[in-house]
Amino acid sequence: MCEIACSLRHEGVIWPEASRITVLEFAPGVVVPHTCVQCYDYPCVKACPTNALYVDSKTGAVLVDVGKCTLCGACIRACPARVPKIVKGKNYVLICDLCGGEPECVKACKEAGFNALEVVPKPEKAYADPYISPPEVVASKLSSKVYKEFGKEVLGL
Amino acid sequence: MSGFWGKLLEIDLTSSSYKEVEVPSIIFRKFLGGRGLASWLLWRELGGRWESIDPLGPENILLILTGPLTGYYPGIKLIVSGKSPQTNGVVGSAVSSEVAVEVKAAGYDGVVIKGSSKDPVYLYIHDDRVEVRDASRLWGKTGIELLRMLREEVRVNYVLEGVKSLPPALYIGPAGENLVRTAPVNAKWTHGAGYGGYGAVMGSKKLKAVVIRGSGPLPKVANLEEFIKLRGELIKLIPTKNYWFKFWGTPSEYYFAGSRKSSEPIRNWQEEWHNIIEYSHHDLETKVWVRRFWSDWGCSLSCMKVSIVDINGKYYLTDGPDYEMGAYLGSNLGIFDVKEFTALSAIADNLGLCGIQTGNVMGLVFELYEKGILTKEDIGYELRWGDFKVASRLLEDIAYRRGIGEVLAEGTYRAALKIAEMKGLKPEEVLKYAVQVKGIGIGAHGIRSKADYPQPIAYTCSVHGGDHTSVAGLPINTIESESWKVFFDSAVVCWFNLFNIPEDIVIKFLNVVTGWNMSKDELYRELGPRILTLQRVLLLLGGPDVYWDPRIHDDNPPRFYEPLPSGPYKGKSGDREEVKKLKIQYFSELGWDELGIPTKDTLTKLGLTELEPAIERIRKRLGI
Amino acid sequence: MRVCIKFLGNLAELLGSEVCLELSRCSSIAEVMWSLIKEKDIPVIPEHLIFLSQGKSVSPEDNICSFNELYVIRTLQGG
Repeated sequence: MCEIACSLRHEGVIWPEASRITVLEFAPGVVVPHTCVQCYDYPCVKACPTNALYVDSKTGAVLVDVGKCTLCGACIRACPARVPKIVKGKNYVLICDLCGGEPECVKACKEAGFNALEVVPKPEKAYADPYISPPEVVASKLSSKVYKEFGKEVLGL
Repeated sequence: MSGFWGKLLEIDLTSSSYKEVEVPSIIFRKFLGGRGLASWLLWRELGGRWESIDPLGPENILLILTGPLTGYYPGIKLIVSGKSPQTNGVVGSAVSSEVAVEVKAAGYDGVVIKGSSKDPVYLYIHDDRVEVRDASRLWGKTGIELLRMLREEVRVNYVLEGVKSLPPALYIGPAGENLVRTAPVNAKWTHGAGYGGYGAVMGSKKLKAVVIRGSGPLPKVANLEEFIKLRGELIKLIPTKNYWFKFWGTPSEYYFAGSRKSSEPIRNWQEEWHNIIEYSHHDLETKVWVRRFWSDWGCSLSCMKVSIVDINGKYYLTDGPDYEMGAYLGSNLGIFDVKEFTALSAIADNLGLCGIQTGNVMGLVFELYEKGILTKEDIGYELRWGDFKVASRLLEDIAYRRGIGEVLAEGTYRAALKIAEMKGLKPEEVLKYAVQVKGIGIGAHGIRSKADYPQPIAYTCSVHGGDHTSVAGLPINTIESESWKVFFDSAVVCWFNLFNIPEDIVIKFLNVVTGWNMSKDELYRELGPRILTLQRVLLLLGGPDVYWDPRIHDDNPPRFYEPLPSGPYKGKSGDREEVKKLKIQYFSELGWDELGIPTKDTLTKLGLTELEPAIERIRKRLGI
Repeated sequence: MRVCIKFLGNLAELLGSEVCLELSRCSSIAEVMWSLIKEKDIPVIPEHLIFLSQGKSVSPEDNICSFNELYVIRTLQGG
C-alpha cells in the first residue's frame, strides 16, 4: 500500500522500487516498513561530498538537490539503516521527504485500516533513538514479540 | 498498450539461453493474461501434438504469468501454468506472491520456461539480466531452509546491500523434486499454486526456484486520474463490506462449512456435517494465531493470519491455516484438534505438498484401509482416523515417495487405478472411494447439501475438474458460471478481493487501466466462453497416460451420489438426472454439444476455428 | 407494498427461486435481506450478496421498492 502510494505521488506510476518507503519481510508476520526517520545529526547530509542533501526547515525531512547529486552512495553508507536508494532510471538518490508534511504512505495505510504508520512531531532524541536502527534489528525485536521463544529460530539470522 | 507490456521472457533450460518474445496486444484483448494467455500460448506451442507431450518431460512448458490488472487491482495473484500432470489439460493455478509485481517491474508480462536442465538449477532474473545458477546445494532443501539459503545467495535489494529479508521467489520443496503430482509451486513460506500439480513440472526441469527482481515502473495506465480515484474507493470498499473475511479469513469456514452448510470433507467425505465447537476459528484465534493481519502485496483485505504451534519443543509455522488445507488435513482425516491440523499444514508447506490434493489422496488411503482393501502389510503401519502421528508420517512418505507413498504421490485418480491393479480389483471398485474429478481432488466444498455455493454441476462441467475456485454453474451470464472465474484468473485478480464487488466495477476498473471498452456482455458471451472452449479442447485431447471420456468423466464422484448420513441436510445427495439435465443446459449455453464438445459454429463465433483439427482428433479417439 | 425477489444459484435451493413479500414500509435491500436470512435461518453472510436489476448491479443501500425486478446472487467464498 505505502509503496504504491509513495511511487504514485512522486513518480506518477506504480513503481515499488522507487518508493521512498520499502516493506521488508523477514518471516511471515515479521514485516518492517523501512524509511527515513530523520536522524538528529543527519549523517547523510554531512557525508554528501557535493552538498546535494539538505534539511527542510518546516518538516525536518532530508531533501535532495537533484542537480548536485552524483549518485556516489556516500549517504547510503553513512546512514545507520541504509535507507537512501539508488534506482535505475532516477539520476538522484531517493530519500523520504515526508511529502511536504502530509505523507501519502500514512494516509494509504490508514485507509487500508492497518494504521501501522504515523506522523509525529519530532520528539526528544532519547525517544527517537530506538527507531534509528537497521531493519534486521527491528525484525529481531518484532520476531521475538510475535513468536516469543521461537523468535530467533524463526528469523534464522 | 496500457496495463501490460506485450512482452514475455522465454528461457530454455536445455540450452541455458533466453530471449524476449512479443505478444500482440490483440491477444491480450481476446484472452487477457494469466489463465487465458496460458491456454493460448500452450495451444500454439504444443497443441498440434498435445496427446504425446509428457507433463513431466522436457517438452512441457512452465508458464509464470501476470495479467492486465496485476499490480493495479488491490491484492495480488500470479498464475502458474503448463500441461498439468493432474488433468493432462491446462490449469491456471493461482498463488499470492509479490513475484507477480517483480515480473511486471522487470519489464515482462510473464516468464516462459522450456526444456529442462541436467543438473539442479535456479533462475535469477533481474530486469533484463537472466542467470541460470547452480542449485546443487539447494536441492533437497525444505521450504524454510531453501528461503534462508536463497536469502544469502541473492541480494534482495541491490541498493540496500546486505539486507537479509526474504527474496521474492517461487520454489519447490522435496515433493516437487520427487515429481509428486500433488506438489504445488510455493511462495512466501506458506503459499502455493496447488491446483494442476506444477511443482512436479518444476521438479522435472530440475528447477528448484525462480527469483525475480524488477526495478522498473509498472506499465502506465490509460486514465491515471480515474484509476487513482477508483483504486482509492476499492481499497476502502473491499474490507469494509467484507469485514467477516478481514477478521477471520478462510478459517471462518471450519465451523461454518461443517455445522451450518454441511459441505466439509470428513473422513474422506463419508460425512459433511459436524458440530464440534472446538474445530473453529475461535479456537485457532486463542490457541495458535500470533498475528491477525498478514497482507500480501497491495491488499487491504489481509485475510491471512499467522499461526505457530509448539509440539515437543519444535515449532510449526503456517498461515490461517487456510480452510482448504486445514479441512483436508484436519476433518478429512478425522483430526479435529486445531493445533494438530495447523502443524500438519506447516509440515505440508515445508515439504512442498498441496494440502488439498495430498489430503485428498490421504483420505482415500485411510478409507481403503478402513474398508480392508489395503492392509497393514501394504502400508507398513496402521492407518487410524484422527491420528496426528500417522498423518504426519504419511505426508513424509508421500513427499519422498517411500513405501505406499510411491503410489499415492501419483494423485488420487492414478493412485486409485494403481491400487486396483495391485489388488486385482476392477478400477471402479477403488474409484468409488476417490473423491475427485478429472484427476483433481475436489476442493473442500461439497455439493450434496446445496447450502454451500457449488451447484450440482460445479465440478462435473469445470475445465479444472475438482477445483473449487473454478466451479461451473448457471445462469451462464452471471458470476455463477465458470466464465467469471476465467475472467479473474486471466485478469489475475485475487478472488477474495471480489467477494462483494459487482462485476460492473471490476470491468470498469479494467477499462480504466487498459483503455479498452470491455462490457459485461463481452465477458460472458465471448471472453469467458473463448478461454473455456480452448481449455476444454486441451483437456479432452489429454494424454499421454490418461484420457477423459465425457460420457463417463463429466460426472461427480460416486461418493456425491450417496446420501449425507447426518446433520440438518441428512439424506440429501446428488441427483443423476438433475446433473444430466443441468449439464446439457450448461454445455448448450456455452455453445458446446451434448457431450461438451465445442460446435463448429461456436468455434467460428469465438475466432477459434484453428481448433477444428484438434476436435477431429478428440472425436476419433472417442469413436464418435 | 409487495416486492418479489428472485434468487440465483444455490440461494434458490435455500430460499426458493422467487420470494414475494408484503412489506409494511419500503426499506433498503440490505435490511430486507437481513431479516429474510434471519427468519429462514440460512447459512449465508449478508455481506456476500450481490444484487442485480435489468442486468446492472445495484447497491444494497438502495430502496427495495424502486425496482420492478431484483435478482440476488451469492458471491462465492471459501478457499
